[in-house]
Amino acid sequence: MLGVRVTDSAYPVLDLGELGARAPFLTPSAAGFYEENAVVCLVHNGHRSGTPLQVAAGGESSGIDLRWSEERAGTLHRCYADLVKATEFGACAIALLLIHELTPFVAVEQAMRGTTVDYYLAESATDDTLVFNRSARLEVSGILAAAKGNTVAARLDSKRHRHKPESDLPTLVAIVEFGLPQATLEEI
Amino acid sequence: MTTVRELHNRAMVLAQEALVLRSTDDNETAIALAREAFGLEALAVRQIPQSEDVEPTRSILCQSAASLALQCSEFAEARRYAALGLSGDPPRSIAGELLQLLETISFHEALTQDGIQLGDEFLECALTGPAVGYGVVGYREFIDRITQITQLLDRTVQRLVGSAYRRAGRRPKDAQPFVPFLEAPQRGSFSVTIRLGTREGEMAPLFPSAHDVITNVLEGIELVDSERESELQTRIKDDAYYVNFVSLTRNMAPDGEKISVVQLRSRDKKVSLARSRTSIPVMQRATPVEPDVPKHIDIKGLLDFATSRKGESEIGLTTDDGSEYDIEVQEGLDDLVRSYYGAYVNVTGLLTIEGNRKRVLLTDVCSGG
Repeated sequence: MLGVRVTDSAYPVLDLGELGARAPFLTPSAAGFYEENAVVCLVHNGHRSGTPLQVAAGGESSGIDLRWSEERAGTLHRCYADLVKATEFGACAIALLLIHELTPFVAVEQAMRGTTVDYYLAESATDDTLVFNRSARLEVSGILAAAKGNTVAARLDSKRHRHKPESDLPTLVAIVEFGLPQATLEEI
Repeated sequence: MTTVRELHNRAMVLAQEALVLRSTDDNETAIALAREAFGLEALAVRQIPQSEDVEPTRSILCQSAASLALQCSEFAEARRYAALGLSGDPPRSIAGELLQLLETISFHEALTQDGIQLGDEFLECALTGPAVGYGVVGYREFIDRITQITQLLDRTVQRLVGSAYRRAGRRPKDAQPFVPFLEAPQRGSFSVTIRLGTREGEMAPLFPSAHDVITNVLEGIELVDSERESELQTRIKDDAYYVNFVSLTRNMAPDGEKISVVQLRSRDKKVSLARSRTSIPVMQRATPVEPDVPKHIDIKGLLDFATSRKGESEIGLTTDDGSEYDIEVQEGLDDLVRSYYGAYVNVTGLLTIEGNRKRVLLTDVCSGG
């Protein structure tokens, strides 16, 4: 089975506008959609481009500058009034950028689960038939603003304590919180 | 031959576009794209060889195909691919999700058969206070508030379409365009989500949208919470609807002992109802000037049905010492009173005595403890 791990950030800047380039498996409209949702959540919490994102990954913590285009940011909230969904999709934007920046995974496969998209990670895309074999699952979870009982640590804890048999898929959990903002990447 | 990867990648491009379109409410195009994506994903599944090393690819592709089929309401196909995924040797987590998917498929199929569409509009109600534990809540604290909020939504629909206030009797189906559904409670502060389904073909052009109804209710509760009832009264001009709105909101409000805050949230509005129940007055009808001036009364007893009394009054109250009172309910308070039928209550009102009959014009009712 594939082992999930994270590496050091090569460059401490995360530009939401580069999601399309960093995640080429996304269509341009999907990349823009995820990016805009993330910006809505960040602006909702009073953040401006350049705000540091506290990242905990591989047992270490660091700060990464989070950047986005502020020109469009002011009008986006009208298009994305549903903050519950914005949190879900916005978390995907940041998680996928962090995967690109902090992990050795280069192949990202997608699959539908209900009305949401699941992501599977692999270090190389070698098999054109057994597409998901030798891949790890990426579970993305978003929090608009941490509150009592709804924190990154609590959410990570509930995922850690979930019964998970050894034979199950290796899973990398990404939890993104827009209030601070902060993000955690951890294998469970 | 087109490979599994090529077919699957093409399906995912369409699925992503469908996802983006759904967020802009272009559901028709989103469904068409999901249908096309399903066709490609189904082809990809069929190209997976019959061998032992095909997992987890086989079950993940089956889950993906079933999800896409569900998105375009192809229930039989969705069920077939979910079952196909389970028939292999899926990883435990995927197997669990496929079983959940089968339940979701059955639920949506049943909704479709009943002509109901479940939209994205929701109203989340979160309770905080000593009666709320981690994922657990006092039954009455929960049930009463959910009953009040669904009644508020229902009455708001009637008011917004311009129907006269209806005290009793069954309303025609076409005056009930929404069907409430309850989503499983979330842990933490006890929180449930009410979703409004719409009856297919019964949303007349002049009906308010589910979003309008929910927003109207939240704005009204916000006005009550901030003690701006006069502003609410200018919005709800009909006295009966106004009294009904305030009385139901008051009954939902924190009691100061078991529930301290009731938080309500829609997809774009959040309201905290922190004002205590006892501080919310309900507008009283002017007391009629009669030769025998009615006396204010505050009594406890069992609120029961008229049929058990064989009297003219619809409801009555029997006190601990066996005294019986006929209860007259002012328009607008009927939903509140109905929620206490069969319960031990504290009634305040104006008492008039005519011969052997004691009649109370009810001005307030609450649990008798």
